[in-house]
Amino acid sequence: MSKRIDVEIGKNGELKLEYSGFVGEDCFVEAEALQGLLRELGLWAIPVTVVPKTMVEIEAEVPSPSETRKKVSLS
Amino acid sequence: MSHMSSYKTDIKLVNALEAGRPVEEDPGWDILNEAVFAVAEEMNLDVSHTIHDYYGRAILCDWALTSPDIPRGLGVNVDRKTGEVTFISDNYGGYERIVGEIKDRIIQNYSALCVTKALAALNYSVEIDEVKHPIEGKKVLVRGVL
Repeated sequence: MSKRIDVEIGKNGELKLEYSGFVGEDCFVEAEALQGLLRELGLWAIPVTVVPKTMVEIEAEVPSPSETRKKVSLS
Repeated sequence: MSHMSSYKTDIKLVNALEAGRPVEEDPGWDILNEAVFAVAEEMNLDVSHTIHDYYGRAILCDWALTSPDIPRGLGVNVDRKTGEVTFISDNYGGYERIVGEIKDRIIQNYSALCVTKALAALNYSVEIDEVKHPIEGKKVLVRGVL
């Protein structure tokens, strides 16, 4: 599954970010990297809220594992 | 795991200064220039280096934005020692709203440019969109896909 970061930039520059498709703590590592790059560009992003997604939200990102496919040969 | 987060932002151009170089060489300087000119084009503003106060006295700025709606202008300055970005204007006579709007748009554009560049530097494919929110005003949506 592809990784996705959706950023909403509001009035006066406030940022709302949504990380999708990341495994384990990877999204927090990516958030740190992004914050560091923004700082290098002169934009200091000060965290206000950080909310981990619920299982329901995470499951909605990932395709259902129940649908497994099997190769069949047609003869 | 994935997560959602929100940030408030501040513009401060310190990288060049910390390396002993002038603030004009900071990567943020060009981004600020781009953000100011984008807002000028969008809102039909003229860009120069001079604003005026209520008494007609000229004040030099790094960027000055003026129009018939805001004849004294809004100035943008970058502190040469600290890299802090400040906005200056003489709002006497009812210019607070328009000045606030221009300032917000510059900061919003600056943030959007930075987010776009940072995501691209992390190898994301980036798409940008704008939506008008009835209460919260214009929002910029940036999507990075890896």
